[in-house]
Amino acid sequence: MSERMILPIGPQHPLLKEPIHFKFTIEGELIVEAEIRMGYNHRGIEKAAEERTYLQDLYLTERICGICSHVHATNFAQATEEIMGLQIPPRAAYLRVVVGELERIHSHLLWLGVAGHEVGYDTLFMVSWRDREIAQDLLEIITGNRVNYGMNTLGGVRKDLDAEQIDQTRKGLQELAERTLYYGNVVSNETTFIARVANVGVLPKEVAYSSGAVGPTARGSGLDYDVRKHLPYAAYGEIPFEVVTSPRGDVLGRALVRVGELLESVKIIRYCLDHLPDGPIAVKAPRKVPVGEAVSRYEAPRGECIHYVRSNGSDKPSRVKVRAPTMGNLASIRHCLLNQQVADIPIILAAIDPCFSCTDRTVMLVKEGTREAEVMGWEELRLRSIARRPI
Amino acid sequence: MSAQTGSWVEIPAGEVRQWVADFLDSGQMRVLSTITGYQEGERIAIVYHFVHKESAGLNLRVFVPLSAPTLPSISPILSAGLLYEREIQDLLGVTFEGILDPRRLILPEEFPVGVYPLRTNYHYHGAEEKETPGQPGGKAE
Amino acid sequence: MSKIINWSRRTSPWIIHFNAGGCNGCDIELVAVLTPRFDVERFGVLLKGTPRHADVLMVTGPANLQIRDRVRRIYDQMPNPKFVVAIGACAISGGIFRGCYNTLGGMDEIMPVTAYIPGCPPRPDAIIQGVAALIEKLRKGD
Repeated sequence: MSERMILPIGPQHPLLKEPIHFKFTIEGELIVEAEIRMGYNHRGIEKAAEERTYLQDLYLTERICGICSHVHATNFAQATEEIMGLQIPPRAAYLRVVVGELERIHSHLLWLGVAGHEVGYDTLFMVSWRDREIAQDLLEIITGNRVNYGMNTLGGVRKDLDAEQIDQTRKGLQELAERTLYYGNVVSNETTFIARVANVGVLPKEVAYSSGAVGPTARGSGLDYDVRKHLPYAAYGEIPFEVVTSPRGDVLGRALVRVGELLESVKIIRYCLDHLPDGPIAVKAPRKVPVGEAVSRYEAPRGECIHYVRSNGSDKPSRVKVRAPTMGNLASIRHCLLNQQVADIPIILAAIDPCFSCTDRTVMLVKEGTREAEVMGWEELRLRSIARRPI
Repeated sequence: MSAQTGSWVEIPAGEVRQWVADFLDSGQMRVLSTITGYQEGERIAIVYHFVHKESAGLNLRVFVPLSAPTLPSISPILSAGLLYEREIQDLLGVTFEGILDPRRLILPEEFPVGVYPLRTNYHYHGAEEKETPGQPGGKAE
Repeated sequence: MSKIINWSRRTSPWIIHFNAGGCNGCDIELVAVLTPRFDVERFGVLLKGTPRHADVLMVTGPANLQIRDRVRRIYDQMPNPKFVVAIGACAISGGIFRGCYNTLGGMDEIMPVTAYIPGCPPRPDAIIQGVAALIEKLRKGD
């Protein structure tokens, strides 16, 4: 077996004046304190959005994150459309859901691979990323691109689905549904994997609530908030599906939620294809936007994503505020780490499915009561964790 | 306005911690989604975006003067507010009194103190106008 | 001597991957290159965890103030001969973030770049093509 020393998303190891991104205080192998420092991916997007037109900002927000670009593009479009007083055509609403759910599938499979890699289960990484390519192919067939799909415009979508694309999508979904059963089996029955994730990184429901956790991180602790169900957008108000939760509160709970959501996503897409409304795919949007403000929320793979847009009546927004879900989950991370073992750091952090665009991976371990500090890179930490807790 | 945007409430900035405490006690909060700051002329608005348990958005807006941008932090009673308040401190220069952790959150260490990128007087050069490669442009007027 | 070095370089370039503040689009396509569908290892390409063993630095993202010195330090830690591949529009020119207050205008503001693979993001096939072109260039002894 060849050497595959990778982290699916490359580590960032800043060693500027303050090298610490996660700083852990340890006693033996136990974490007694954990601190977080953000900012290594701060690009100044909100300010840039004020200098660009709404349509340009659609493409800018799409690139906040390459894993969930449709999330941000749709969210921004929805907020802007509300200020404009635009109602998108029903067919466009359904198409936005199809792409959004395919994105959820690719993202959760990506996460499964990352989680597997973090605990030394590289077969799971290879298999899940191979299956993920099914979703990538469908996204490419439908939108023309594997990443950054450019599916939306202000007022609707830019690409329609023809009979052949629908047919190919159904075939791909069939494969994905079968593969999901395999992953369900892994998280339910694969004892070596379960041993690394059960009772690890526990987040009690009350802490999830007060720290503002969202998405599978929160639903894995029994909090049942899902924007698609509680504040439905696009076509979700008409589509039957289940919100997946787990009462466990540990990393395994979050894994069970994500695998459950894979199955729900397949069902949702099938429903959309079966009930796709006829009609146009976009309405015309004005170049200048009336004075106003709107909030839009979207259930991203990682949780609730919120956009707040303010218009001053010109062709450029006066304020675009974005809170991606990972920031909502970061506050909970400290609690998940306290009194856990150093060897479990990688999988506990992976369990919130951090969008690596905004999290860094240099770790500093500080022995309590001393001034000694050991700085290690993520890869070192991961290997050490696999050695201490082999799968 | 859609259910997602929901309703708007405005109160004096000094009352924000009490208002949030009452809201929490009522058990009607589903989540604090985020806190937004924006400048409007000589004042800065802070908007707390909640989701109400009756499945609607609820936005609480307060104003502070640019000359004295200070208000109570809600982080002691709702830890979800901490990172959002820190971000507004960095980008708009608002001070949240009693905040649990006042350190810089997202701006680089070498970014000048006292310069707030989201304030309207902050302008940055486009890449075409940059004089020094390897440095971003931008300064406050 | 350079003939021997070139020969060993062309048979198995060892790569380090660094995300300098990008959106992860390029990074995921780069990682996909290692997975069974694309399988870049058949070219003898190996991903290493440390710069000290790497020949090629594959870098993504527009780079910002916080990350700039670190990228440069990784480059400095690599032994000679070393090569830099800028993957994606952001690493080439800052991409869609060009002009933002916290971002730079391309990796060649920080260090010499050997090859550019354009795209937003480039497909895995394009990345493999870029890697193959680099290997070809090394084989020719440039």
